[in-house]
Amino acid sequence: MKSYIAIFLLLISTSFLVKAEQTCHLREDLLGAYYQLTNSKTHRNEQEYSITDKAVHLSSLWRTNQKVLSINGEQSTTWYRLNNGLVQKTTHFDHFKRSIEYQAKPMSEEYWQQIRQLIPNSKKHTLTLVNTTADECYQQEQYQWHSDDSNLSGKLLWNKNLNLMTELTITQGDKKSHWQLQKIERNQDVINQFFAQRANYQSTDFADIGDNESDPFLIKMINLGFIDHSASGIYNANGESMAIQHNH
Amino acid sequence: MKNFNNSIIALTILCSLAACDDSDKNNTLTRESLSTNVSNEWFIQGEKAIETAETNWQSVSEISELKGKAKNVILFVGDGMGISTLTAARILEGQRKGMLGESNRLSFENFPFSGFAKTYNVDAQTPDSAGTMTAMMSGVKTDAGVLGVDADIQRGNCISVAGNEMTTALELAEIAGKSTGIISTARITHATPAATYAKSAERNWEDVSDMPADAIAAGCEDIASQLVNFEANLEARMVGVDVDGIEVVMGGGRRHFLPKDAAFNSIDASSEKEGDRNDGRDLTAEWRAKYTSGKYIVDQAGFDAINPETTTRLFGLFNESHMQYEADRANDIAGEPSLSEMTSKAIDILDNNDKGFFLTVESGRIDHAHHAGNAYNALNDTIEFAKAVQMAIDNTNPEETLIIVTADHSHVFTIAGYPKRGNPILGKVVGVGQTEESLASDGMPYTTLGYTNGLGYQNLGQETDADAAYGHENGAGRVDLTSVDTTTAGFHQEALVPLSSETHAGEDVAIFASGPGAHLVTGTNEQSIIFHIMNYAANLTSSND
Repeated sequence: MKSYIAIFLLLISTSFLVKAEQTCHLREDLLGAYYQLTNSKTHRNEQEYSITDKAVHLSSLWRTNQKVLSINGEQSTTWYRLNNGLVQKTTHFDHFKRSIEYQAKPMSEEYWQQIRQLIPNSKKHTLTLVNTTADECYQQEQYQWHSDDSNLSGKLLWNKNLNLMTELTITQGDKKSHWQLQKIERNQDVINQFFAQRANYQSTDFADIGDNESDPFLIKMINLGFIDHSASGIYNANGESMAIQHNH
Repeated sequence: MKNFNNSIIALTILCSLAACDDSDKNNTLTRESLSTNVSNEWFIQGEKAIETAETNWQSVSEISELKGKAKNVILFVGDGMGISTLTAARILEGQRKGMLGESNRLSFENFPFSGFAKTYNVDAQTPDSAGTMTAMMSGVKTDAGVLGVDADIQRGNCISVAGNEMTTALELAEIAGKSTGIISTARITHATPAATYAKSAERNWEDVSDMPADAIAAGCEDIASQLVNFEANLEARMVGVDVDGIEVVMGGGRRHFLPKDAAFNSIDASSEKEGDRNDGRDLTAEWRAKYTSGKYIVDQAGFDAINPETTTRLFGLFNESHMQYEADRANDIAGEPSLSEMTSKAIDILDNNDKGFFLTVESGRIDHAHHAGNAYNALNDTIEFAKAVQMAIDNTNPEETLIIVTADHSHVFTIAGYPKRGNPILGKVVGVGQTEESLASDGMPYTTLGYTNGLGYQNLGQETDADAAYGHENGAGRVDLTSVDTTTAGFHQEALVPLSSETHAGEDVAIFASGPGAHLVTGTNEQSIIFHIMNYAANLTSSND
């Protein structure tokens, strides 16, 4: 009888361990992270009635092996890190199912981290760590910073195991930006599909844009241009952007 | 001196005919009376130029005797190398030699004969590379964006190709038993090199994955496949003809020859999956199977190992896409040869044929640098292009080799302001007698070189890849350049009209020629005359009668 109980207890504990392991078995280099960004601004009229303008954006960040896919609206970008350390960038225009490929270039480790995890470790280390919590699976670090000069304050909740931003709030005057991790995708097939879908777009070498004036998509790009860079919107206590510059 | 004396005699005769009264006037001109002119170095140079021209024309035999005298023909095309590019590159090369620059000559500017080509396509006032190179290779002007076919086709319409294919000078040379070669620093399936061997309703059908399903179903063949199947296709199109295929092919564009499968990646791959083909074909393997004695290479080491005395056939694909800009060549993953190195080796291989050879050499990225608004790389590649021409001059017999140097079209690239003599061509304008930079009405300095449209100002410092500018926001308009070093490789000149890519220009381009038949290059002509000059000089069509 005792042996049956022991076996039963062993099976139960094993199943819990397996379940816990399965829940926590999120590979840092194989995931998709959905974010909601809310930008708001508070107004006050004569009766001190506050009205808040809100703009909500959805974006996602995907990682697999040495590839990172960043999706913002109808434009996305894939970065692929070669074995020799060079990084190739491909910009995708999802509405048109077209891509523009750039030549592989050297990239600093710091900038690669920024692409993979939105905030490079070097920037994170400039923030004040106020708390560390741990749940069943993850260790979460909480950071804070404030600058009187720039009237800016921020709070960051960081998943240390996954090197992933869980939550970020930045307030400056009457403006506030809030990033919230909505969901983590861990199904390998789903993750691979996000990359594969864009890999199948018709791609054009960036150097060929100027020679394709008859292509309706590319002539639109030639005439209207497209913005490849936008501010990260993430600033530290000195009011400096947490996004680092390109290294060529 | 002879010409000055001739002028004096002529003037004397005219005076006699006009019943000049010698008793009242002394109209005899002596060299001393024109001493200010004749002692001036410019004047002396001008007289020598006339003597040279006399010599050149005296050495030209009866035109009929020149037909077929060119055993070898080399056509050099600087893609996008308009007149302003030539002038600026000439100055830059001269300044790099320690000269003031303006009096320098690029190698081919010493050729005895030159003229102009009108570059427009049948349907485009400002042309593209496909229609222009088709005109040069086939003797017929055609539409923009098509290769090896006349203007009766409809661009992008596969079924309109049949019956409208033209024969190129390279194909005629093959049929005549000459060795043939194509070199480009662009992808070898790109418009300019492709116009030598391919027939396509669309220049962008570089491999099968670029083609719409209806074009594939209708039987149109992608450009990369046409290159590998050149021999069979030509023999099928020209019944009774037996050729041995293009002997030397070197350029970029491996992606169009390999399947989209990482297992086929070369050591030079810069993408996760280097190839683009979705039909599973490895065209490099097909080429090797077809030409078992041929050499297929992908990098500098492979190139260096080629012995031109023993190599009969060479296929070099040195980059996944385009080859590097000359200034950026050190950044290639596995190393790649320069345009001048490729030209020299190609000639060494091709001239082993007693019947001679036909070679086209394209500097494909002058155009790309201009599109990116980067004069440095456009001019630097032009200088390397001139070096490649010098290789041809040094390695061929001028009495039996026609060398033509030209461009397919121009760019909206200007040399402006009133900079003083010797002012750094890549620098800001400093006026005659001045030491301070000239200022525009907005109080800011400006560069000598500029673009009418495009990405505009970028200051990327020592960046040697012109295309790095595409990753930045458009900078068209005026910028305060006071503290900016505009001579660096990564400086992109200001542009007026904001576009994501600078455009071609529609004005005429220059043609330079040396060797038998070169004297036919004169005046302003349709660009398609270049084929007819090569044909006449090498007797291509008659030798195939």
